[in-house]
Amino acid sequence: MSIRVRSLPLVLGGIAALLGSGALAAQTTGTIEGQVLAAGSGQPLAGVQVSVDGLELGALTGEQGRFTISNVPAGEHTVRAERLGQATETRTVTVQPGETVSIEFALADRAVALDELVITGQGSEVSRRRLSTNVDVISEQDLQTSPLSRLDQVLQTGLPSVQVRMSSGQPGAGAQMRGRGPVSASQGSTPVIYVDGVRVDNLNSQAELSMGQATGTQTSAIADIPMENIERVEYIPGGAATTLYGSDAANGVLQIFTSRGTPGPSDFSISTQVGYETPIRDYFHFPETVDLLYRNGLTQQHQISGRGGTSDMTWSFSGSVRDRAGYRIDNNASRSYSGRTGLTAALSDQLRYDGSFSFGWNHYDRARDGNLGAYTPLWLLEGGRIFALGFNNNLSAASQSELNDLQGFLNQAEALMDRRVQVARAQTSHTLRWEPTNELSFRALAGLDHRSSTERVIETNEFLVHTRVHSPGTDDQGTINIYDRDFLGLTLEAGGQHRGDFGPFDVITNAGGQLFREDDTQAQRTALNVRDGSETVRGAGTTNADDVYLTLVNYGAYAQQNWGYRDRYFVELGLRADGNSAFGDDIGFQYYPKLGFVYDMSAEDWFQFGSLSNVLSELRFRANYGVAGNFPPPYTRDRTVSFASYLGQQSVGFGNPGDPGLGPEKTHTIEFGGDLEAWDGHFTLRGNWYDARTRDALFAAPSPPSTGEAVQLRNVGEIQNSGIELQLSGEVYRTSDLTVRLRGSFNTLNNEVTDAGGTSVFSITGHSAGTIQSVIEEGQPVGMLRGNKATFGPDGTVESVEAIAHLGSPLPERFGTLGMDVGIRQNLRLNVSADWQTGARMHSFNRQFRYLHGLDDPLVPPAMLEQDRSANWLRMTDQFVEDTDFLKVRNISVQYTVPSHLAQRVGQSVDLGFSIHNPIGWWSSSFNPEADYSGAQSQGGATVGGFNYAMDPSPRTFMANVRVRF
Amino acid sequence: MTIMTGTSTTARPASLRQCGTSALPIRTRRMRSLLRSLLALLVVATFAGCDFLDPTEVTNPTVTQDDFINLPNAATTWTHGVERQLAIAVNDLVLFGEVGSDNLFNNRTLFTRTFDIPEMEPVDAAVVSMQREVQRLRAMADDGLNLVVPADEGATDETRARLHYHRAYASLAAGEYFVGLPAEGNGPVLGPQAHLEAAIQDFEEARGLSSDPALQGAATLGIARAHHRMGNMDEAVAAAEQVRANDPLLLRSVEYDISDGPTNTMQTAIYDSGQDEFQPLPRMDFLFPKYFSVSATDQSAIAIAKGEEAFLILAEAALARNDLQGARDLMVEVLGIVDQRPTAMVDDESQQRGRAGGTWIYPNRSEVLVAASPDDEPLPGLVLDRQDGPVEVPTVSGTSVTADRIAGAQSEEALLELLYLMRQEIFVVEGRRIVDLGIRLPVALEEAEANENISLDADVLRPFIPAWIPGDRGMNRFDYEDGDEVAVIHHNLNRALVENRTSDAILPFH
Repeated sequence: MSIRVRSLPLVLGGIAALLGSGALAAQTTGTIEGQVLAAGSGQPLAGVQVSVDGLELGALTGEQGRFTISNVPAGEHTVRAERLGQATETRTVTVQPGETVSIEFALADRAVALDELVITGQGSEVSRRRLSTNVDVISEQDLQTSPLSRLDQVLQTGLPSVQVRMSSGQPGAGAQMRGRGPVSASQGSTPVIYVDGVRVDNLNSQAELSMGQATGTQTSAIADIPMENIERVEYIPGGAATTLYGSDAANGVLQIFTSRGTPGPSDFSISTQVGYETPIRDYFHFPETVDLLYRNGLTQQHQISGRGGTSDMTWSFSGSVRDRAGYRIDNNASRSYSGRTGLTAALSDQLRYDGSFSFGWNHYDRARDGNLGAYTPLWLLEGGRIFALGFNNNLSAASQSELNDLQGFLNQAEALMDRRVQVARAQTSHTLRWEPTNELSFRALAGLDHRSSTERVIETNEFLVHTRVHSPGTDDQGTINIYDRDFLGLTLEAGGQHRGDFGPFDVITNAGGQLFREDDTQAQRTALNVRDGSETVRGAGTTNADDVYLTLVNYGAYAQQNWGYRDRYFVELGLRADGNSAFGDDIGFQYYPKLGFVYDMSAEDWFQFGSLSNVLSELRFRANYGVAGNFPPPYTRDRTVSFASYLGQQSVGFGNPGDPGLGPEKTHTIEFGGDLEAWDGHFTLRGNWYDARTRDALFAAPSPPSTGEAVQLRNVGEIQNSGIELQLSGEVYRTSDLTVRLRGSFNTLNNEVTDAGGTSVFSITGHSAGTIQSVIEEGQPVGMLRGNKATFGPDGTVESVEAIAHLGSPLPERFGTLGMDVGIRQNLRLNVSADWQTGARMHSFNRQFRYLHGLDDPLVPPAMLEQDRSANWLRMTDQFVEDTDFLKVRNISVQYTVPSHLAQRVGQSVDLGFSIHNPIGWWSSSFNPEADYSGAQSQGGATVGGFNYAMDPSPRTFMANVRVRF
Repeated sequence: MTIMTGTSTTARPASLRQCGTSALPIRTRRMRSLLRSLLALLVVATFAGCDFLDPTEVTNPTVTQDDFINLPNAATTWTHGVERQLAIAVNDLVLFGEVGSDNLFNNRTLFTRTFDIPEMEPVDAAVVSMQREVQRLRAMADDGLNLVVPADEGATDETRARLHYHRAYASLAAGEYFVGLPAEGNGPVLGPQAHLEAAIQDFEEARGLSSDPALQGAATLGIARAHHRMGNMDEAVAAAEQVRANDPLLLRSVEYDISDGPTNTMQTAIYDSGQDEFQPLPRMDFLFPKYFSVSATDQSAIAIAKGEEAFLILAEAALARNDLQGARDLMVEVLGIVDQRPTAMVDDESQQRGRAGGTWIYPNRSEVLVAASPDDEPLPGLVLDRQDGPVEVPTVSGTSVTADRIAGAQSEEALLELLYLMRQEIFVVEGRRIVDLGIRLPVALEEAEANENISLDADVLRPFIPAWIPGDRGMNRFDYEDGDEVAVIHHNLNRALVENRTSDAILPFH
């Protein structure tokens, strides 16, 4: 039986009593020292708990992964190394009195690490072995070797059962994140995010007031979470695993833990990344589009960090600056500054303080995209619309002179475009931990997330005249729109944990309460009739303002117990009760129960003997049921009126219809799974089957027109998601000089709106029913594409049209990740990661517009190229919907650790690296299956994507990096 | 608690753990003291009811309907809101109604592309939007009369009159544009006759309550219009005669607000966007842009009641009675009214009649003649030169019909055709043409799906598109290429109306 970190103080206390006589100890004890490295990479691992079984002595490794355990009684001992996020390793040593034994650990990066400690629910860390649910982990090492600087990019291949799609290449743009399918028809699928226990802004769509729109790039609050100093990221899928998070966790929970430093000598490092971004030509219909609108852009990032501490206090800090010139000819640059500090201090023998603070400032340049119309350059070029401005729209057939003219026009238009985003963000977390006994611990946490963003759109008269929106000489059509959003999130939490042993039984009990509050204040300033050069609304011909206040409070209590019997049978029981200011008056507290079972077959005595144990080292089965929720948006429960100024006077009309019975939608999940580890951990397999049914799903169905009322969210629907999740990892080759590990995941997704609750079909994204839209319809997947479907006659022309036909689902039926890690002689590491999907479909407006605008399209029946295109282009929308299977390699990175005798000329160690982001890929569609304009139609609203329409695809990035530790 | 370092191992002696407080290190005792003090402070603050410690207070910044009704002057504000809703509803009726007629063609991709065909299915966003806004207008006026006014002691008869007028307009639109609609939330579908009768009742209430001659005149014209649509010739004539006698230049419009909305969407489509969105039938070119911005901060109003209509109703009644000369006299009177309406000089240079990326190219030179059909004589003066400086356009009413053409029309058919051309021109971009053509929109599918009184296979879920309406965008088609001297429209729908005048769907007096 392993020693849990929490139990160490007790046993170490007992052992320490023996240390009262140093002379006695000196005569009968020895020392164990050594180093812990990361298997594969050979990197030193700090913060690893190394302990001696049975004696309960231990130490934490320092920055170089080194540890020393003194006063170890002579004799044979099992030494164990364990760390949050790593698999546990053991070594057997024999200690001689007065001597020192050296050992080395290589903690493997295994997909299934049953003894890995994770933090789930609202409690403290617990061994994975006891959990009936999944927790996916991205380690500090993964983060350090990743060339990516955005959380969502890191998650793209770091989470094997979550799909992350970067739908726009513009800086700070939102990404679609989806775990176990879209559980809601009214709210996005982005998981709730906690940083050091503090719930942070995870808005991944346009705000109520913003320059983002449903049909263009939307700014994401996830993109600007400072990536400094992150020690570990955990993802808990929705369902029983997130029950204790209550009314906000149906999409899963993403937890970010930052570094507090480790005891030992101070350790500093400086790293520099320099490279460039370049457009990926294969994503474009016209190669000329790339030449006209894109370029290679320098990108660089510089970082300094440090950590260290004493037995009473540890500390860490990190700061960085990042600058991207952008890969468009203009309007794509970004810059950010960020920093984070972490601190832990022992206030007494029983009381400890943990704190962290981060700050980030980001600036993004933006360009018009999606369905903005007028001067939207990708639509003009890739949609063939540029002919309307007097240019040849068949770019491949255009003469060099025509292209030069077009280049001149675009250069000027891009220079005149002015759209910017600035985000400042500060997060802080403070925790007091009190451990009156070894079995009992309490913690109290308070933290804030403050995110302040400003989006500014300036359209000058010169821009509008140049882009032919207004006639030459126009001087009164200039506009300024400024959107401010201020988010303040407060988290308060207090809880306790008790661990008890009762013979063969042991039980971990967690109980506590949590409160979070969000204050979301938004304002819009608009100026009309603005003279060129002015960047302020002051003095404009006309000024207007608008604002939105959204406040929400959630307060809940939770309790859970994890019972173990002989360290092989485990039962989890849990309950959370939530009140929420968004619940209707008739709702009251909402309850979320969970129940789980674990059977660890490999802990059976009979498992340890015979040939079976030679192959299977771990085998575990799991089952659970749990409920997690999504609360409705603020105030949607109230029946309100809507004020509006009209012709300079107050006017009022119908507001929100209101529903006193409005409550959270609840996702009930049943899950069965198993974990298998074979050949001493060289091969691991994790499998899950789940069935998640969202009952009382919130449908934003329109009220019948005869009522005259607006849309009201109502708990009327039911949505089902079910699927299989398989994660496989295997060390296919290992010698003393070379290790090769492959990993992959395979996930299936079956999604269906099983009950529409009597509501009519309604759209969540897209356009009108006559074009194409993404709808909620009973019996269909969430976001099913719907539009006109043509039947062609013998002559190849449209014979009949089926209106509002089902054209396919943007949700993949299967998706997953692939990866390979290669380690050569401990100082050279190669990492390759990829993701894939099949079974999804997507519509290309770029193609449909090219058809309308007279350009060839090899995928429509040839006879239709000769027909009246304006009469037919919308009659055969199905012709522009394609399968979007893809396999994309996201990252290839090589890291080289300079031999220490060379490195020590400049520091303790030197790492060199080179990486390529988005190096290669394969996709079945005629367009980039990721560039997707279909953001949510409302703040935090649901979307599943499905529309390729004038969006910048993500670039290919080449980066070289140097990291020096001092 | 045990802290371990990377270089040494420390552990607290068990003996200390088992001792009392006095045996604890000083730091520990101080921390316990601090904790006790903090706990005491928290208890005191909690029981003292300190609001500053309460992070749970949430206040909806929006006013609830119950609270609003009890505010001073609620009825006035509500009525102004109903007028704003009228502007929104008229926006939809005009925007989609015109595209659904031969007046305008959506030459781009913004806005509806199906009404041009015409296809008006119950799932069409335009169909849904039109009835939603009309029904909201009715429902808001209902609440105004039934909830807000009774609770507001300061509500005046003038306020009541305005609410009745606006509810009447909603009923009038329901009776004119749709095959049927519910008259209350989730109610059964009533046919056009019931809505028009409800409109007349409310117009009469408005006329009786108001002391404002302008509102009285508009209500009277509304009564004439509703009776006209129902074919009640005597009642329509009686009301029209009152308008003719009392206020022949009657003009009631809805105004738009560029600052706070709603804005005039038709103005965006025919003028502001500069993208050649909507293009008029070539024979209507001279009437455009009827809506435009004189400056960056203004918007054109849209007329909903004009004195001209009274004369046109009277002329149609005269023709129905075979009083050809009486009809001619009335039609000439209409020309006199139109002559008194204002015109404006408008810079419309950005309008390129489809040359800025439109589907079709339209004539854009004044020397181009336009024939109403292959059987009609090409006529001059219907197309303006927009690239040669500002053009003069009527802002309320305009027509190409002259006294000579009226005098030259010798038959009832010829006069009826001219009369309906005058209606087409005078009411252009006011959303009226689709009604004159006899087209009626269906009940929206989303109404039927949620309304237990409507079955999903009900006839009201199908539009009524008369047989004389050519499909495949035939209403808008014409033959013209750049350089041609004549543009020939494929179908003269005014003639088609006359030829089919005995149908119940059109020309109500015949």
